[in-house]
Amino acid sequence: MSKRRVAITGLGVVSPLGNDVQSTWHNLLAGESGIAAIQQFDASAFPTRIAAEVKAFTPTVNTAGRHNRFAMSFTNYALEAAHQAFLDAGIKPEKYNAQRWGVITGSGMMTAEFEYLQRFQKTCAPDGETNWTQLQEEAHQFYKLVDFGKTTSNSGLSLLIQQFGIEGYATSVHTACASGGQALGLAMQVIRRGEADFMLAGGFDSMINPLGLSSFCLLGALSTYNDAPSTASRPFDKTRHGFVLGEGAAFLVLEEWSKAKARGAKIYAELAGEGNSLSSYRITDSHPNGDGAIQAIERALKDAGVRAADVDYINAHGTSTKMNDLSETNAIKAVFGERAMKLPASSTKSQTGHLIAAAGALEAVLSVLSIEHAQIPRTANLTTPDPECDLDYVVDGPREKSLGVVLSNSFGFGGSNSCLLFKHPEFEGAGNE
Amino acid sequence: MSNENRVFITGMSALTACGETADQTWDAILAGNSGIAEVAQWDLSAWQTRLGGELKNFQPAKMLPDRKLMKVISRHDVMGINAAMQAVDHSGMINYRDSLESCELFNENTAVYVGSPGNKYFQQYDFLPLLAKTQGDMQEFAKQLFDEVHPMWLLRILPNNVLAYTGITYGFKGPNHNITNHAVGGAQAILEAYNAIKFGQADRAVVVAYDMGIEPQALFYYDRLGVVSERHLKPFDKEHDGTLLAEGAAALVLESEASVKSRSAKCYGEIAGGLSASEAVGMFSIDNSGESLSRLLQNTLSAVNVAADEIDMVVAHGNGNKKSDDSEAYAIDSVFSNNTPVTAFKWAMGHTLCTSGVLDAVLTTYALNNRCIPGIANLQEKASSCAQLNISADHTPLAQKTNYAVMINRGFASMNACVVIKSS
Repeated sequence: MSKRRVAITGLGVVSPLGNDVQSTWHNLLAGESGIAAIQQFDASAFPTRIAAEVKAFTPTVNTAGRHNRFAMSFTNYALEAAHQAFLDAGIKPEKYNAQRWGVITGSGMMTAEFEYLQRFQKTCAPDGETNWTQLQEEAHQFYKLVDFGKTTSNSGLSLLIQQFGIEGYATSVHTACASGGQALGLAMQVIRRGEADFMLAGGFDSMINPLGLSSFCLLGALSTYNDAPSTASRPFDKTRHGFVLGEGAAFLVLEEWSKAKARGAKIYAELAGEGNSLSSYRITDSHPNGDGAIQAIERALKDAGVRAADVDYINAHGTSTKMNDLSETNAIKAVFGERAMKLPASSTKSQTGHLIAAAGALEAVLSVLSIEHAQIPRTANLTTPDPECDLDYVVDGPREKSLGVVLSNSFGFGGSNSCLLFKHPEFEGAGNE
Repeated sequence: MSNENRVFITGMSALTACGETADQTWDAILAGNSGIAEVAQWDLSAWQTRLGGELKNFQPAKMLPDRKLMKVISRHDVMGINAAMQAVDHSGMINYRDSLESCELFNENTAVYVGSPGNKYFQQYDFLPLLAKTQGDMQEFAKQLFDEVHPMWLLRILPNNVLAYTGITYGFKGPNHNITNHAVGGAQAILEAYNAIKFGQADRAVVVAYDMGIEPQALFYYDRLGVVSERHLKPFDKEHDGTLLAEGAAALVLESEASVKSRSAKCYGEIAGGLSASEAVGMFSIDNSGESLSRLLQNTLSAVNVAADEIDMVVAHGNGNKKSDDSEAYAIDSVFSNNTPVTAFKWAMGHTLCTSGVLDAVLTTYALNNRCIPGIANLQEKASSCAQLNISADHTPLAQKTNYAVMINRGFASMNACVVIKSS
C-alpha cells in the first residue's frame, strides 16, 4: 500500500531557552542553559532547587479568550506554541476544512495546582483527613467551575480544540516522558490512514510546582547539582546522577504531503516513520541492554523504509540519569553496530532540561531545525567521559553537517518508547520508494 | 486493499457495579438488575447526591498478579490490571504463546492500548497531612516531605500504570498508547488498536479502560455542573434528569485474522471500524442540535462501508442527561430508520466514564453473540424529545445470522466516538 506522506510545515515552541522557535534554536546553538534556581515558588529547602523554567512568558493577545479560563499556566504554553505553529505554517483550520483538521496532545499529569490543593485542604481537611460533610457545607465558597476545568484530563486538548476550531480527530495521550513523541507518531498515522489531512500535534507540561518537584525528589530522580545549575544536566557524563525538570510546550503542524506541495508550503521535513514499543521491564528503569528502545528505533527505520546506514543524526532521549543514558547508548550500539561509534547522537536536554510530556515534541522541533539549518546541536556538560557511554555525543558541537535522516528518541516511565524518523524534504535514500 | 487486516474480538472482560466479570454484568442486565446504590467507600451521608456504581466485591490483593503491587499503584489501577488479565485469560492466548518454541515474536507483536482516566483527585490526598502541618510554609513543607509522603508517590499516581503493568505481567512489547481523553478514551483505545492491527503494526492487542467516577471530589463537581441525578439514570425516559457516575474497568483482546487462525481462536465478534471527532463547542458543552453526532455517524458508516439499514442495533451512549439524550436521539433518528432497535447499558452500572467505551463494546458483543438486544429495564415512558427512538424495556431478539451494531460514546471537550461491531 502506498502510504500518504506527512509533511511538517509549521513549528511552535515555548521553552526554557526561549518563548519562540527562533530564540530557542539560537540559544541552543549559542550554548546557553535554560536551567537556573527555581523562581516560581520557594524551593530553597528541597534537595533539588533548580529547574529549567520558562522565563518572562505572558500569554499573547492572540490566545487570550473565553476558553483559557480553564488553562493551567502550562496550558497557556500549549496555546502559544500552537498559535506560533499555525502562523508559521500559514494555514489554520477554517470553517470549510475544520473537519479535516485534527489535534493530538502529549499531556502532562493533570494534578491540581498547589494553590488549589491548599484551598481544598483548608476547606475540608483542616487536620489532614478529608471530611466530606464539610466540603458540602463550604461548597459556596469553595466551588469554582474553573477548578474542575483545570483538573479534567483533557482540558488542554479541549482548549486547543476551542481556540482554533478543530472539528476532526482529537485525542490526548499520556505515557510520561514518551507522550510528546507518541502524540506525533499517532498524528502521522491519522494522516496516513486518511482520517485527517492536517494535524496539530505536540506536547505541553510543567511539573515545576511543589507537588511535581516533591514527587521526583521523593524518588531521588533529579540532579542535585544545585550550585552549578547550567551544568547540572550532563547526559552521558560519568558524573550524571539525575535529570533536571523542565517545562514548556512544542507543537507542529503536520500536513498530507501533496496538499502541502499543492499550496506551495514550506516543508521543513517529512515525518516519515515512527517506532512505538513497550519495554515491559520496570516502571522507572530501562533495560540496561537497551531492550525496548531497540525495537522503537528498528520499527521507525522499517516504518520509513530507511536503512540504518542512512541515519545521519540521533536526537537522543539522554536524560542525564545513570540508567537511561547507558540503556540508550546500548540500544544505539545494538541497532547501528560498528557505525554507532561514528553516528552523532546528542542530548539537547543538557541545555533545555527535561520537559517530560513535552520533551518529545520539543526535540522533534529541534530535530527538524537541525535538518533545516544543517547543524547538529551538541551535548553540553559532558566533560568526564563514562567508559560505558562511548558514542559520538557531539561534545565539540554545534557541528555543521547536511542531514538527510534524523531520529528522535523518547522513553517514558512505565516503559513506553517512541522513536520518530524525520527526512530532509529532498532526501532520496536507497531505501526510499 | 487486500493488505489490510480484519480485526476480531477474542477476549472480553468487565468489572462493574453489576459484577466483577463480564458474564455477571451481562446477566444483571438481562435480569433487569441495576448495580446502582449509595456510594459506600466514603461517608457521604450529608450529600444530596450520593448514588453511584461501585464495585461490590473489591479485593485488590486477590485481583493482582502480585499483591506487592498494591504499594505502587492506585485503586482504579487494580481494576484496570485485573480487567486486562481477565480478558487475556478469556482469549486463551497465553497457552498458545507458551506452546511456541520462542515467544519473542509473539510478544513483540502484541500491543497494549489503554483508555486511562489520567489523574484522580484522591491521589493527591497523601499530601493533605503535610499541608495541614506546614500551613503554607514551604521550608517546613520541604523538610517534612520525606516523613509524611510515601517515596513511591509519583509511581502510584502514574496515569499509565495499567499500560505498564499489563505489559510487564505478560512481557508484551508491541505498540502502545495511553489515551487520556475523558469518557471517549476507551473507545479511542479500541479504534487505535483496531488501526494498529488493520495496518500491520501489531498482530493482536489488549485494549483496556478503567475509571473511578465516584470519588467524592469528582462527584462534587459533576453535581455542581448539574449533570448528576439525585435519584436514577433513565436514558431517553420522560424522567431523565442526569447521569450517575461509576467505577469499573473493561477489556478486549483484538486479533488479526492470521493471529486468530494460527491458534484456532474462538471469535466473539469483529471490529468493523469507527471514527471519533470533536464538536468543538466547549469543555463541558455539547452541540445541542445533534448535528455533529449525526455527521460522525454518517461518516462512520461510509468509512466502514455499511449502509444505515444494515445496522441491526444502535448502542447509545444514553447517559441519562437530558441534553445528551436529546441530541443523541436526534442524531440516531437522522441517520437510522424508526425501526432500528436502540438500547443503552448505563442504566445498569452507571456511567463509568473512560471505561464506558470498552464496556459498551464488550456488552454489544455479548448482545450480538446472544442474538439479544437487552431492554432498558427502567424505561417507563419515552421523553417526547426521544419519542422517535425504537427503545424498549423488553429484550428484542436479533434474528439474522450476521448482524452489525454501532455504538456511540461521548465525553468532555464535546468529543464523540462511534465504533461498529459485527457479529462473527
